[in-house]
Amino acid sequence: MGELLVLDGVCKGFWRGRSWLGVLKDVGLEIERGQVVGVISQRLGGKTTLLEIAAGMQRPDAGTVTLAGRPLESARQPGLRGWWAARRERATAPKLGHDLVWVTRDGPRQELEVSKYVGWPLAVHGRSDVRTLAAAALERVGAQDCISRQWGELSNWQRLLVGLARGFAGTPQLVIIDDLLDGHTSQDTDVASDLLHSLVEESEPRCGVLLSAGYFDSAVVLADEVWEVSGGKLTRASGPPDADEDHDEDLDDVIVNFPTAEKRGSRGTGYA
Amino acid sequence: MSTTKVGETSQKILCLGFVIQHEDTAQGVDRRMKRRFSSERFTRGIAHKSLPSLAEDGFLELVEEGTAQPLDRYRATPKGEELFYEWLRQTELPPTVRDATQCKLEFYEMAELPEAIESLGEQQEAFGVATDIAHERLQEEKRARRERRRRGLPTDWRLELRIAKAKDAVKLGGMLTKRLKELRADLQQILDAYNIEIGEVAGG
Repeated sequence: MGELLVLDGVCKGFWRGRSWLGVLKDVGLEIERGQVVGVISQRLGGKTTLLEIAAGMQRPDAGTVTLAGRPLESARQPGLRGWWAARRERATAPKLGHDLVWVTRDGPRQELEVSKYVGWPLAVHGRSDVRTLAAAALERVGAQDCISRQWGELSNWQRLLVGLARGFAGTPQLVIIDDLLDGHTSQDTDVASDLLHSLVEESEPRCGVLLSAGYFDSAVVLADEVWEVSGGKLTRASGPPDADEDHDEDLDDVIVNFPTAEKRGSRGTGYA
Repeated sequence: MSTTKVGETSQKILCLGFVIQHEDTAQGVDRRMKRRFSSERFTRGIAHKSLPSLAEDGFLELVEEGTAQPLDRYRATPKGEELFYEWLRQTELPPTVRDATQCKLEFYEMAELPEAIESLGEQQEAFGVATDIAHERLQEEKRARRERRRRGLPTDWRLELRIAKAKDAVKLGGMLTKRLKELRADLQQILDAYNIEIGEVAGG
């Protein structure tokens, strides 16, 4: 099917007091069209950071992120390539809400109407038939009854359906789902998995999905491939993530000598 | 003398189960065994020995003689069905788990620990591969179910059972992989903490 999302040599860290905390260290990941890829980690282990970088919501400190061959957010550092080059790239750069859609378990503010939440990614990119498209998306997942309700009134299961409707309302290339599909019974996870895969299989052009899950058991049901972020590294998961017994100690473990500016320069910033 | 017992998952009892599902030859049972229990890695050609032996014990009977022994066709006798269903309905209780690693832990000396850790690492890797295979099978079966729904075909309980089996296999594989990883870490910790101390004692 061909590579859709490619993360190459991605590094991300944060200052924690006077220490540098390397959350992602030289992470590489490829997602093909039609593929559902899951990422697991212990709590605060870096999976959401990885998803946010894949969505272009956070910039990596090093490495590159491309969607369908186009670098993400390429116009954010005009100084490096010149203003004109940046302007030219801005037009072709993948756009959040259009080329890729972000869906999270937290959802919007409680009083927002479902039709607006589902239709938002379409509305920001100038679609006028937003309510009709939102209604069609909700119908596809069997949540048409929720269209006029507020997010705060929905059950967990309804939120899951509405989240999926939002993800697939338009024609995104990549849908990124953070924690939305977690915390359900094994049977409900199975149903959610079938629904998600059906939406992917019916998408035209065929999209891909990157999702995060807290549990190995649900991730293997939901995704074709499951990866684990542990100690800042991304590896294929073949079991539940390590226990989350002493979080502070775990964080100290991933404090690393982060790449120097010189090294970062040689790898490229990912936002050329 | 019969060696077929109720309280164990012998390859023989699985052969018996396949013949109860439908009459078959040793060649056919072996093929089904390989397909349905690929990750269990049962002895190849086990049905060639098991079917005549089961017939000798009165659990199977010969229906039709083939041109060669592997092509002899068998069916289950009431005695065979009774044994099989007793096995199928029996509750599996913890004491029946005979885990080799658990047994070996009883006998390790400090000198054996480095090799034990290495061996656990190899096992962990092998379980990881088995988990990946089970995961692929789960997704394949689920894809088949979606395809049935898409074509408007009725649901198939056998397919549902295969999905449940694959889901269980991947969870089991994941659990065992994690268990080996943690056991390795525990042994490494013991080795790091006590190896020097023991070396000093041994060296006087």
